Amino acid sequence: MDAVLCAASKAAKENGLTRVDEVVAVLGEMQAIDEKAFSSIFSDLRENYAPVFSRAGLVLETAPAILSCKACGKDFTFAEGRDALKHEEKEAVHFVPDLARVFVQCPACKSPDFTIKQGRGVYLKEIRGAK
Amino acid sequence: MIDPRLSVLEKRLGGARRIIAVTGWKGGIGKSSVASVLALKLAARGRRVGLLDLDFSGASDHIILGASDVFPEEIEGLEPPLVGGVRFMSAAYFVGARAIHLRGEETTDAILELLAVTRWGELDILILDMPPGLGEASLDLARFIKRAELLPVYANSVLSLETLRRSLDLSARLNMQVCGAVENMARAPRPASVPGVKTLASIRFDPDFEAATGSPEKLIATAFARDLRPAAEALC
Repeated sequence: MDAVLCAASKAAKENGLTRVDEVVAVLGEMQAIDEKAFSSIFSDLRENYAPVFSRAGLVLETAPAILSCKACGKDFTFAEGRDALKHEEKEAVHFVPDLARVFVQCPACKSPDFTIKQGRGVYLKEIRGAK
Repeated sequence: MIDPRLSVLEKRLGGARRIIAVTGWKGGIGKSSVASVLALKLAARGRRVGLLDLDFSGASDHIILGASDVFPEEIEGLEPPLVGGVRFMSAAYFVGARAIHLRGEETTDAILELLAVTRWGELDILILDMPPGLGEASLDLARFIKRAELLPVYANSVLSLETLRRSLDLSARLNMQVCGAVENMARAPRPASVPGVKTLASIRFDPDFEAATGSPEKLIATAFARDLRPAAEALC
């Protein structure tokens, strides 16, 4: 959240916004971020960053996680293997999504060599406001 | 799409007065041992020190320091635990004894993620333990942490010195600063000279170092640590 507000502040300043109405963020499925908690922290922190955020709303979109096996070329979803992960492994992926390579394997060929095509982390998609 | 991690790096690292990247570019040269013991030496001198292991595939600082029963505390990010007086962060906390196999861009993503999530607080020195080679970590250092000062570790061998020479040349082209060098596995009374770089310490082979691994108290009492003292004094 800290990073999202930092990025949004920077973008608002660069674009000369005097009031931000809405911040649109994309949450990658791999980080398994609690949307309610994320929104609540946004509301708590927004005024500390800059007055232009005092009435800003937050819109969250989710990007499903799609992984692509480097060995056999198959695309698969993170959701397919997520339930098999232990709690601490899910936590590891939450903090550093790339560590999924340590815990997940391709369902087709069992290779641990895959890339994250989408749904990795948090991105700032858009900020809307007035100049 | 804006990657928010890039915006928070300055804030996360802003509390560190100096950032020293222990490198050497060649594998097996003793970077992790120097980085870990240097961190302990500086902490023993009363400095607030952080240590970040960026060598994902060869992570070993946690073994050297014996950081087995600790984990970062989650407070709007992750606060690294104190190990031997050093705030220590590593991806090893998350994977235990398993190997971390990352491809190019994933290494960059993992570095960014750790930098963005770690709350160091106020530090006199943050030490980065760099992986070997001139790949993502070296290039990302120049890209994301421009004020980092390089502290290369080398041995008095043709292979090590030639790697050092080439890597220092590239580092100059990347506008990286070098704060000195450390000779490891020294055999001669005087360190091998490195053009343009002052050797801050020359460390002889210490047969007792292995037995001290895993114990900050024992490490700080080794001949290895004593030989490293001039570097710690220079960086204070």
